[in-house]
Amino acid sequence: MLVLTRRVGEKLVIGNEILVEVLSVSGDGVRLGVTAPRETSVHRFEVFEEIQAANRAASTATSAAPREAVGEFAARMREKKEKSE
Amino acid sequence: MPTIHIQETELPYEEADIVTFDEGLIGLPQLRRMVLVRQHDIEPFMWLASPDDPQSTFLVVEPRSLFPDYAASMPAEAASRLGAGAGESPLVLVIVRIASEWTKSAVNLRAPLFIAASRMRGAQAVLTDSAYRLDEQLPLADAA
Repeated sequence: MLVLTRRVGEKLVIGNEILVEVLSVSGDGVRLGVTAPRETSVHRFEVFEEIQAANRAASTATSAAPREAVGEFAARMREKKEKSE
Repeated sequence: MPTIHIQETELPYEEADIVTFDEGLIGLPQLRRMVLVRQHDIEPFMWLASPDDPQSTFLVVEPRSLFPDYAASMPAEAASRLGAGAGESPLVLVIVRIASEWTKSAVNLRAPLFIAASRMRGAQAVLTDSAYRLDEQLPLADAA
């Protein structure tokens, strides 16, 4: 891991286009400003990790589900939907 | 015609059916090419499967078929990645996590997939400012 020291108001650049600026520091909190190309997604790591885990869990569950289970699940959903309409 | 192996079945698809996710799915950057496969007996669900990795298959659904009020506004970065033309409304899909007890299955309403059909580009985005959950229970499950 690259470790850098920056002061408030200083920046670092990742690649050619992503800028991270230290806006303020208060106690153990650091406010960062991120400037990135429009198509780049920026997430708090916890959010990223949570969605990653959800994606993996969904994929694993699908691979593990028996063929008939998916069909039956789908049939039950169609049935419920018809009843609710 | 190439086929994709999903749950012990070989399903045909066409190269033109491949949706490109430039960044992959969130946390799964290797999943850049995915095929949306419809199969009559699993409606309203569909498969979103990787032609490159048979282990990466997702069960997906159009959220409004289950949650009619669902309103996902596409975050700007996802819109840029899709390059969707103004006025084009992308296809919105959500990922289902199937549980062995089917009533406990859940859908991820918080991180939907947006697909611009005109360009066959997709992006998964997080609806950070919404109250949608990533493990929303099925709306009809309680009636089981």
